[in-house]
Amino acid sequence: MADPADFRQLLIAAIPALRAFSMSLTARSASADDLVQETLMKAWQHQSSFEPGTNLRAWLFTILRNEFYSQLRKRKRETEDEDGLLSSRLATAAEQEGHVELAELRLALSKLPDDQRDAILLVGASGFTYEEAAEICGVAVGTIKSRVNRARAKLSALLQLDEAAGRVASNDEPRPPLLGGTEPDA
Amino acid sequence: MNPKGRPPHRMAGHKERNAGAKLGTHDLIAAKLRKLFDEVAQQPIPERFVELLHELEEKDAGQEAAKHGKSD
Repeated sequence: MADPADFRQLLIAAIPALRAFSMSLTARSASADDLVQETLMKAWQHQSSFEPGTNLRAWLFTILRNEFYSQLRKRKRETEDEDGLLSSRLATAAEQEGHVELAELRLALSKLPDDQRDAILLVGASGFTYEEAAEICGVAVGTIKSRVNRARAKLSALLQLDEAAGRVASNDEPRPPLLGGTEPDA
Repeated sequence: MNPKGRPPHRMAGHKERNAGAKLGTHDLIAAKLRKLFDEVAQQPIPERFVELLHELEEKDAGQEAAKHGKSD
């Protein structure tokens, strides 16, 4: 078990990444930070089960993700099994995003199945290896790889990147607008 | 052990990005996802979390002290 003061410092260092993941899952800043708070409290309570030297970030992300889905399941039961609760919330957050490029991405992410979104967020956004993401989601590495691949394929179709990729291959060429003509100043 | 001296996290995405010279769809998606992530991760840590952890640590220390009797 780590020294409490050391453990506290490690948790503080992990907060920015936890908030970013939480925000991309919940799409609401208030509930995202509540989820981070819940995660920190759980981590503190269970610090004796954390082995110093092992991957604290993966451990914390596992706690956060489990907490998120157990809350979501509870809420779904309370709102009579409303399917697509999360997707609609993510889509709303996309509409409120001030940044055009990020709004597009949020909207595209909202259209992915939950498991694929988790996989691409962990590997593509949070920077985990496939092995770590598999551990966090409690599935085989191969499963994560295929989820990431499917998520990438869907995202690139939704964002129409296949076409764009070829054209921005050389950095000097002007970027084609990804949204109908509203190219933001870069 | 020195937790701060640990090597930075290995990132699968970064490795992939360096592997290919051309900027493909994967790289575009990776760059967008990183941007989404960084948008939040680069914000300062809200004070409420620092305070929360400080309180938790003090509470534990208080309980430890009570358990062993308050002998200084």
